Amino acid sequence: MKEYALFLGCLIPARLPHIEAISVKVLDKLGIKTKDMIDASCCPDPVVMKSLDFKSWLAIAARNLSLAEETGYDILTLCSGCFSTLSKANHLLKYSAELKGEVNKLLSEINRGFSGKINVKHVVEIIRDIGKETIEQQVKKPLKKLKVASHPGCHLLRPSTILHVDDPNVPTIQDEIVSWVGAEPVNYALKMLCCGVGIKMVDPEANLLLLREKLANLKETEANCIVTPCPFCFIQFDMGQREVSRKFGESYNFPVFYITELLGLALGFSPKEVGLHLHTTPVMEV
Amino acid sequence: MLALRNLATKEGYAPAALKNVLKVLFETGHEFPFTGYTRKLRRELDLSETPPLTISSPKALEEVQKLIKMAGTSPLLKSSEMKK
Repeated sequence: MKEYALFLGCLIPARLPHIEAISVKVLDKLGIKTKDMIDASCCPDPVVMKSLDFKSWLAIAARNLSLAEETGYDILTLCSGCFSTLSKANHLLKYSAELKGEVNKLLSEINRGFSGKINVKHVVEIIRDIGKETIEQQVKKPLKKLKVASHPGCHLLRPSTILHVDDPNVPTIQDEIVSWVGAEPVNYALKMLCCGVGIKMVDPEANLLLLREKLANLKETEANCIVTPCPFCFIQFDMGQREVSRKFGESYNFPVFYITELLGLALGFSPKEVGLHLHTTPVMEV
Repeated sequence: MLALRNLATKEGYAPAALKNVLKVLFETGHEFPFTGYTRKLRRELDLSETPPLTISSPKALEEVQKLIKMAGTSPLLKSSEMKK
């Protein structure tokens, strides 16, 4: 059984714990063991902290990486923001002796150090690597009624020269997983558009306009639900639809799934075990 | 662009919402603190009420705070700067 250090981040354990619960259960069923990373902090997030101070961002990320290095396991994260921060920091520190020196000087003050011996993986990469055959064998309840619009989000794919997850312009990784669980992937014109959540704090109006644009495009397709690998995008779609509907006098009610929720349903976990009762936008019976 | 934003921060200029994120991170080690509702929800899901993160470890929080102070972001945490 392959084992990973599970980096929980902040949003999932504090606001979406049902995603934490079902992800661990799904991974376990697929032969992946996870161990919570002890004493990990915020990654810190790839937008705010880096904008305020690059060195603090890098030092805190390096501390988190050093905690995983102590376990000897690669990091597995469920959050695209954490994946972005930890992967980029890991890359910068592995390939810049100058940055590594500066950061290790700071880390030495707290009796830690970065050596660069682990890698960082997002859960969709792990699922992709498990592969079509194994997953199809495990599917107990094919999700035949679902026509799924995949939203990849921004932080999982770019910069592709560092992250190496998928084609940054025409990603297929989630659509493949969707088809492995018996659902139908639906393509749409604005697949690569940001959901808007990243600018919510500084421009709430633009945030809703972006979300509306995306939802309006989805309404023109056959899609009857949305899947995302990012907890921030999940909240934006799940809760933001109500706000967009109210503000613009329109009606959007797409059920939203985090990627492991979709797998959980297909592998035979009950809707309650998956945590569907905790969604803001009601999820139809699947 | 990033360098310019970092320079502005050092002069005390940053959107209030972003400064608040830094404040919460400094005080708890996390961007989204755990609430009573979080703990109740986690209990119902058979998860530990508080996972073994910085939020549960004064020593880990001390490490994070020390890094922020040493790296130079902490002047922004002064109450007078938070209002700018």
